Amino acid sequence: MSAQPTIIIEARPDSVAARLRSLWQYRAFLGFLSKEIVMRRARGTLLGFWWVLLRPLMPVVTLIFTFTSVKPVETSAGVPYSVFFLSGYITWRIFQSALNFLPRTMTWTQSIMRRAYFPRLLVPFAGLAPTLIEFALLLVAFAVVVVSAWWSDGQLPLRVGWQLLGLVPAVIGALMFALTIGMPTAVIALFFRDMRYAIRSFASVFMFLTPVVYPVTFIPEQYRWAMYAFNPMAAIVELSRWSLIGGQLNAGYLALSFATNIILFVLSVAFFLRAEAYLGDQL
Amino acid sequence: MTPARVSVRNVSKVFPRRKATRVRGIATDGWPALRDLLRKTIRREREQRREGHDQLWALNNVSFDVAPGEIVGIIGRNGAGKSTLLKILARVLSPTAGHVTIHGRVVSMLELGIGFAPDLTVRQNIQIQGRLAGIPGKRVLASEERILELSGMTPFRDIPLRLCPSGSAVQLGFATMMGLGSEVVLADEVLAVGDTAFRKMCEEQVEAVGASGVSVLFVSHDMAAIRRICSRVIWIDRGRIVQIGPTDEVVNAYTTELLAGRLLPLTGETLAASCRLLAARLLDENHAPVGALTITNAGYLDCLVRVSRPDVTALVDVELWLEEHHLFTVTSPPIEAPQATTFRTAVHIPGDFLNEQQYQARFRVRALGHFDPAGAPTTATEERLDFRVINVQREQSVWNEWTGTSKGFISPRLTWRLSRVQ
Repeated sequence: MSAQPTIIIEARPDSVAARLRSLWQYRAFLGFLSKEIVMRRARGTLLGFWWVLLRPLMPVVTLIFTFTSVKPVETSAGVPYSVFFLSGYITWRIFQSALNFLPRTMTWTQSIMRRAYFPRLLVPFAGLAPTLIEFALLLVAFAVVVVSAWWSDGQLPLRVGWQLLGLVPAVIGALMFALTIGMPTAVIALFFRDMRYAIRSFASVFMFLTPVVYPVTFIPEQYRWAMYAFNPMAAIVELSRWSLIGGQLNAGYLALSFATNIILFVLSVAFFLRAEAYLGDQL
Repeated sequence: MTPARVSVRNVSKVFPRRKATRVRGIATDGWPALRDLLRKTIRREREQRREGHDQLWALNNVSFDVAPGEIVGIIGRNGAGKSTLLKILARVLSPTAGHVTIHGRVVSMLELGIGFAPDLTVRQNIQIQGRLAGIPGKRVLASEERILELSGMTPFRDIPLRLCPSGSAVQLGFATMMGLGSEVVLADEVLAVGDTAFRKMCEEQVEAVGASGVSVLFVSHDMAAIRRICSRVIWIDRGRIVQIGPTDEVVNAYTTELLAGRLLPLTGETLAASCRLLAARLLDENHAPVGALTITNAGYLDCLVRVSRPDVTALVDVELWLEEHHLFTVTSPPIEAPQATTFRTAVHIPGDFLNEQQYQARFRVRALGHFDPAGAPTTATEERLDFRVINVQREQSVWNEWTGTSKGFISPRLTWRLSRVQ
């Protein structure tokens, strides 16, 4: 027989290093859980998988229509509103959609957790799968909007260059901040269902406190620091917009945002890893 | 001497007993449970190791070893801590104290038949089951043929599970667990479901994997099966190991104790010694002890009553509860005896009557016409028996609900009449 793993079960929760090692051992589970979480949404619906595509597109169409035809917003970026809006929204949506899913993923996978061991931290990470699908879809939508603007104006609204790489940290930042808030709320949602509704409402209100539908210039100069200080998503959305269509970027606020983001993320992971050991009694 | 495959050392598990608080009319234990969790995670508060009324010691200082290839039976009454022990070994629960060392992979059958996707093919389902057991995909593929052969489903390999004969899910689950090639198998009440042929198949497979060097921990209420396949038995009562040793010795001691009624009831207190409830069990339609009933088959709620005075007439009340709902009460015919006698009485639960739920039967013995000074009828002893009713007819989804279960406390099969109105 090949080398047999030795499992040691202690009353004390495992060390963080051991926990991270087992995360790697069980990496195959991530794909399985992601698939289950994506399919879970489709189960029992008429449109099935198409909901994954429909859900993010509906607010896009509504918001673009509202702020171009009903109440036009001046973006001062020299690009059509639809391009301006989507350049920030694709990153924002990662945050909003992940917050939508994360509190529910723990309850969804409860029956699996009750009968099999695997590092529970895989659940919130697998919960990002539908979000990443939505993101890919919104990227396609953005490409369509850019190409149609190019075709009608004769001028490419996208700034092609090395700055496009800025989208990568923006996406990672949004995923991290979503996990930061999502992981503790997913734990609490096991005790109280209210958490799911609360976090969903919170996410939709939070969007209007972040320069997504409007440019940051809408906020008076003297209050802007408050938005950046208390809302890490503001700088992340700005970074995403800057990398795609250009504009101003305040490096100081950006650094502040990422610093807060990383600190909160580490705290949140630490909380989850500690709570993990005691979740078994609750399932 | 071969080193132990599984060694359990001084393992204890404490569950806090929390009172459900009422928040806006809805009973919930959410707040105290969440407070507990936050205390432990944020303030690193250790669980208090004191025996108090607010704590349930599901396991208390349990130690034993299992050698490779050994089939160890775990017996004990409902609530004795058998399932908690298996859940700790499966790492679903973490122990409050003590430690466990396991050399090898563990496959657990804690809830057999759950985790199947009816729309996927048999082979895809084997993959899912293997993943759930933490076995890498390649290894699962390698043992696929063996699993198909064990479950007798080779002709159905590429057919969606929902089109397979009924009961396939359970059969496949069992075969998958046995065929995955792990070093340790944990089986909780796997024989409680399925027909005689299925049970026979299960027993044969357990013996076969035992012979091939796999260690099996086997929880069952079926003493006959335990005698047939186990080489050693651990008897647990109220979280402690009562006896551990060769099968016949321990099973005999256990059944003697059960019949003599020396086991203290889990709950309730003895107010009158004149009539006592000794034990309560769930039997299937063939009068074999089980932990669950299937939805279509009948069963019995069976109990032992000792009546020790000639002037006392005893009655057994059986209340059936579903969560906090009291569904009904049935009362036995009067029991009388000229001298101290132990009686066995059972109430028949028809098939197609209970729904797919977790029920609790509360057995109570009272002395007819005897009242205690406080004015309440004498309640000699109360015994609570939790049991499940499961459905093996329909296939189960990957998630915890059945597809298309009928709702309600019970699901009787009633007759319909249909006539045309002119």
